[in-house]
Amino acid sequence: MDWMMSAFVCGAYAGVWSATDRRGLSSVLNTVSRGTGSSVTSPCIISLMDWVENHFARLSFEVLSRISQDSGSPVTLSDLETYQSLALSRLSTLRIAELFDIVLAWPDSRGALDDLRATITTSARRLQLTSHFTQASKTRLLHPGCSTLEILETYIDIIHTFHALDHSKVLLGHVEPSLKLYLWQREDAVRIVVTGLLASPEAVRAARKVKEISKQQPERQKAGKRPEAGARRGAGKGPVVTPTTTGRSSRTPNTTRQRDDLQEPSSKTPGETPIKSRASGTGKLVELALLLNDPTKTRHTLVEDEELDWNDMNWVPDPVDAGANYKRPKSEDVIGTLISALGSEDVFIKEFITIVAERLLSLSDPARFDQELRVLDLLKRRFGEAALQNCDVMIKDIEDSRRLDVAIRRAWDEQRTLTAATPVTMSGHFLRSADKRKKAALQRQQQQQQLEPTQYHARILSRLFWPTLDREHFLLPDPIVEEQKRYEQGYEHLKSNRKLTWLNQLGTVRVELELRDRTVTVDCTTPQATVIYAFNDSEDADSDDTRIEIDNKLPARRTVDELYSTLQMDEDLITSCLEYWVSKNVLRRLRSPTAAAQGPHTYMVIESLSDPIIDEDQPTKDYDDPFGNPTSPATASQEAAQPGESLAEENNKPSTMDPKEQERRTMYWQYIKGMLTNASASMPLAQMAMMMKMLIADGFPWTNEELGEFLAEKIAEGEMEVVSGGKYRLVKK
Amino acid sequence: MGDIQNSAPTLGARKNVDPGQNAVKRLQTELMQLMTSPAPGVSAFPSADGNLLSWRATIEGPDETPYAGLTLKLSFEFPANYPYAPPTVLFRTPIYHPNVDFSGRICLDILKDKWTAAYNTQTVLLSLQSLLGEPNNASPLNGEAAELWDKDPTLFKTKVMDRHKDIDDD
Repeated sequence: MDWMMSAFVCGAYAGVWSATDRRGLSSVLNTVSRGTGSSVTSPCIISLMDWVENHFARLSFEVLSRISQDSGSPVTLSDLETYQSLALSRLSTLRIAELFDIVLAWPDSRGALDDLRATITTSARRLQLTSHFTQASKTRLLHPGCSTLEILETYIDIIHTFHALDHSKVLLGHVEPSLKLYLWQREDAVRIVVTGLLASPEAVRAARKVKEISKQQPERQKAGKRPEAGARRGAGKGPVVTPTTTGRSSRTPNTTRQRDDLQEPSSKTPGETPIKSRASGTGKLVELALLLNDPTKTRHTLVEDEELDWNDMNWVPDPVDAGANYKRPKSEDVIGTLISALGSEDVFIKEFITIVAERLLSLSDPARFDQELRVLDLLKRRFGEAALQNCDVMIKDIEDSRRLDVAIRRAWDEQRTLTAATPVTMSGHFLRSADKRKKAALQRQQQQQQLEPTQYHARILSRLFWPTLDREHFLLPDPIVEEQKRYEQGYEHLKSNRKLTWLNQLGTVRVELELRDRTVTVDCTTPQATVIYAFNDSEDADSDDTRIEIDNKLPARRTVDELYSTLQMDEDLITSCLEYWVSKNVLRRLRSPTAAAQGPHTYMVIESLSDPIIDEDQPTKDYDDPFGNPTSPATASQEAAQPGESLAEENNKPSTMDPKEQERRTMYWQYIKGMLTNASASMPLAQMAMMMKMLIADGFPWTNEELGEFLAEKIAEGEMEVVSGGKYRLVKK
Repeated sequence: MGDIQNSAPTLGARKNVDPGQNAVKRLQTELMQLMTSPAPGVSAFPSADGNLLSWRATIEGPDETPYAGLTLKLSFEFPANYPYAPPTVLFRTPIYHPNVDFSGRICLDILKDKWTAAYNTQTVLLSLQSLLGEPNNASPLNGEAAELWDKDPTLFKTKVMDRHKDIDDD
């Protein structure tokens, strides 16, 4: 009888336990989050202990003494300790369930982490924590709905949080694999990290501001939230049946205060949404730049090399679940962890070099590499000098070419004394080939001068040290070509035995368009400038005429096909350049029947913004030189347009064919040449296809028809011929 | 040599595959390398019968040697334990050269005792290409050619042209 009684009571207690426990927790949690973990021993734990001692123990004493016939105290001190440890384990279960939200709320959730650190004492609980967190991140973070940027930002928070939780990084090590695996599938991850590292000082400053605002915001929110939280707390005291829901609803607004928009839209409050959107609105992981620039963190990495700090009073043994080869990491190295998570150093360095190259070439003012240099120095410390030597050379190239540019320019200036106006700046890129193996790319910027139509500046790149830059073929405007030639001569005069190869598409041009009612000044790329210059040509024929005559003409029109034949530029590129000018309100796409008669995809200059759609206005697109004579706009436009063209070349990244496909075709052609040179001088198509299928390790996906088409192309190019019996063979040269 | 022959089958047995499979795989990789980064003046490809252990190769006679402008065809026969043993390389095109005999056999150390698995078809072809310009006259297979090389380059050139005959596979 007695035994049954006590069993029943125990069962009832268990229910009360968890219910009261959670209720207690949820109220405590509010305090914790607000307190942002100021004290080392978590206030949450203190109050929980207090509650167990003063309320729960008393209650159980009360109940037990009533049901027990024994005299004497039914609740001993050791019982109290048991209750307390039970309470702690409940707390840790709760925290583990919340961990993902805690991570998202970093750094406002330090208090919750203190709880967790105090309560996860056994390895079983550690295991529970990691597996639960992995599960949570899988369902909430690692799905296609999250942008790579968001994942990376969360990852940084995870690193912070777990480091605060466990300095040994063992827990982090258990959680990371699934994240890493997922990030490897995201192709843009490396690029985002690198651009984050290279974020400009302005972006960093902006991020700092956002950070400060977000710090202030919780304060403000606190005031507004209290009633709400209080109401929920009140609800939590309600019926014992609903403890779970109560606990959860009251904790989300607190723990996920700062940016919870990832997975819990329900918990969003108006105040917190803008913070997140501003943070990710920059589109960059500016946190990384912040970390990189943080002097305290930098010092940390310096100390990192020391073997063991014997004076470290905070030393604790390695955790029990550490692996045999476990090596204690010394500092919270967010960048290092992130980079290692993204795969090998090689991949990272390669991406870094590519991005640095892009940035170096696109910088209009080559004097400012501060950010690049600083990042480079830090990365060097991490990866060693040798790995990043290419970057050094690249930066030096840019600096050298600036000097060289001045030298060449001075040589010209000696020949002519002109007042130099600098209306138009253009640039193209060149490759110079010193010998068969060495090439350098040049980027030029041109500026128009009064007599000298454009100012041309080049950047000379040592080809060996730069990532491969494709050359895009198109015809520059004649004046630009002349400039290039002159520059080339100047260069070869200074450095004999070297030759320049121009990478036309990489330049930038400042273009001034003089339209009837306005002047448009744009910095654009060489292909864009080239395209717009092409609209100028027709007028040039009449350029000596007065303006009135010009005015009587229709605005210039061009079709894509015309541009294709005059510029020899890739059609997709032409279209994208035209769209660029359409977006600038300089061109308009014609849809009228008359225009359609001229051929598809006709574009016309918008000479005057007030023009009606059907316009007879004349199109005069002028690239002005600063001294542009108002009476002879056509001439000015002609000169200016040329610089524009060289800029346009910059843009030619979109190429006709997928580069991978192009690469494959080149490789297959090598196989076919090898086959017909060595195996047999002539072969039928089926046998060639069979050989290719057998010999190419990755497989040969083409059907016989596709191979036939490819061979037909080669025949058209004069590389192959068909001989008797339908056999193919190489044309002997 | 004994070691080489012993080690390769063991390797194959461990993986439970035909030892020739390893050679075939290696040759596929080599072929891929040859195709993606071809060296100027040399090329090679498996023979038309589809046997990956038997290749045909071509060397363009290097400029400024008596063989300039000539196209020289070779055959490669790879053993099943390749690359642990060297391939058998023969000139199929008749060639007049101090280190090649009249049946096309070649005297080159890396094809005999100096062979290591680090060599491959491309390095062998490049070695042969440089051998055309710099024969090893200390150990000739064709004594007359070795003598003429230094004594009478003009006569040597004539002999080369006399002996050369383009072969056609068809």
